[in-house]
Amino acid sequence: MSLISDYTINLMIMTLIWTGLSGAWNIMAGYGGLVSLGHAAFFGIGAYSVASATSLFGVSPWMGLLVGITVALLLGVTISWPCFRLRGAFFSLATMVFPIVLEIVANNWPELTRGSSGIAISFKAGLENFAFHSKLPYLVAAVLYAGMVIGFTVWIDRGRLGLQLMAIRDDQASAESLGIRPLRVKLLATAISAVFTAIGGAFYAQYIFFIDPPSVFSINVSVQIALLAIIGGLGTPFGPFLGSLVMTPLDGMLSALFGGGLRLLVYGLLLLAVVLLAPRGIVGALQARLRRK
Amino acid sequence: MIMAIIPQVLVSGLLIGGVYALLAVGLTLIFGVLRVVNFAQGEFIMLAMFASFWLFTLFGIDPYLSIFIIAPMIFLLGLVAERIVINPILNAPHAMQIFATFALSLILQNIALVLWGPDFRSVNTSYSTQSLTFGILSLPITSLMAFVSAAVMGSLLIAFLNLTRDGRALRALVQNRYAASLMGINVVRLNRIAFGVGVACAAIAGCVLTPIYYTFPTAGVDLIIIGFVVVVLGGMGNIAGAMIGGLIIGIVQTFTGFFISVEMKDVVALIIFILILLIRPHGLLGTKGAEELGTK
Repeated sequence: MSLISDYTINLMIMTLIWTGLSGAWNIMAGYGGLVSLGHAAFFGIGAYSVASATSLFGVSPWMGLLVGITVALLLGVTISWPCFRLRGAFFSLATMVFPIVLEIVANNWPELTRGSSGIAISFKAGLENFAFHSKLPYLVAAVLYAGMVIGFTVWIDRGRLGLQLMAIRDDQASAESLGIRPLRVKLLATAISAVFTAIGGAFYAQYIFFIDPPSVFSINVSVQIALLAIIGGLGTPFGPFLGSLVMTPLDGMLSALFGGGLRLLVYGLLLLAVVLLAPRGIVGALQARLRRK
Repeated sequence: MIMAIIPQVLVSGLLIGGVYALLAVGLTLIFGVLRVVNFAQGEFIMLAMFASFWLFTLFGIDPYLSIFIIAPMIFLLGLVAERIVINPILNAPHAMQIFATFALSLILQNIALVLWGPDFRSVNTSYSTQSLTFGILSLPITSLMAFVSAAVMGSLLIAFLNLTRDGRALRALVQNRYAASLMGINVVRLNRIAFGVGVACAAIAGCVLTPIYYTFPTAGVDLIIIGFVVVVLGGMGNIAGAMIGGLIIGIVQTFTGFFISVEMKDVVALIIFILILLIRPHGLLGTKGAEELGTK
């Protein structure tokens, strides 16, 4: 069957998973100006819900996914509700705390998470367990997942919700005076974002087959999610996809070439270059080029 | 038994609180003047720790003496960083501000990782394990020195802010950037000085932490979170608030670490952080509405 190698398919799957995750973050941060640094919380909840469901409680990962979505939704709404009083960097600071707390909880609650040793998901092939021998079904699922997030973002971008979010992002007081209810709109964006991020986390766990607290709750996960959207183009439907399309293979190449330190150094330099030189990301650069022609 | 231990725990908390105060002061000064949250502050602490470690290991320079070499060096590094990274994004949307300093933190962290590797290093001075005893209190010399250095440097900073022309200009900028610029204050120059002084405070905190803490490339990450907690508790941009907040967090952490558990230490600090942000976002000493500054 090997028209394309497993390595390439793996790369495609990871690119699409990160597209979805980053796209979910983009709905909140790009459109609503709610720059969350805590999306690892939703990611980790999604990942742990399927891992614990299958490996500790012996139920189907689909059940776990439902639980994960529900928990992420409830948590997203309850923790961000009070945080909406905070603006700008203060909102980001507050959101940064939640994955740190969840990591401590996960480390100290072995009945639910096996603590710091992590969970290795046992492999039982079949759609009911979302585990396959071939990589192709995962690729199909990844396309569906990323497609769903992008589709939703296009719908938001073109519709009422997107306009309301952008109005609040640009000037909350004026938006309010036009009859937009900021709390409702922000909560809706957060709920959508949390659910998509949890689905991505669950997918990631079922694909990688091993998770532990630092790998899913680390600040690096939150940053990676945000970084792809910024590099691709913040607040655009296809920005996260373009960002992931460039960065995920580059990331694989860099880690194969250099390993840890240098790879992250390149990441940092790239992020800085984008922020300083092309703050509208790849999408912005492409648009500028098209306009010039 | 428990009652006898309370003064000891209290003093230990106060001593580490002094260091927290110092690392928070730099952060709050930068925020107050530039209205930018510096996510890379922890990495300046880490760089100072490495510098102090190497000066001690290679040349036998005492960590407390190394302050006088390292703080000016980090100050200069701060001036350069402000020129390249901070100045261009001062009027950018806050997502860009956050990720510019985040990128700087990623860069500095991984330069350290590439140069010196991920190992945990520590400095063993002749007085590392010695303590002074006052009645029922027993105080490790390193913690005592850390507190004293923090207090001296904190006082110098306050003197600088109150007695010099630049210091007064910085305080004017904290109060009202626009009015200050109309009074003929050179905002660009003072921005740079504020960032330099802010990271130099971090450098001093790093030097005094070297004998107490391990030195490794991500050492700044844990410290910066405490720094944020302290700054928010005291009121963003408020120097006195940062000092008092540092002492409070130091004491609270030591008490939870001693009476509940070491893991809970960080959780309690984070809970305080969230509660303060929600109930009193301008902090203990900040003026109401201060949390809205820099968000427009």
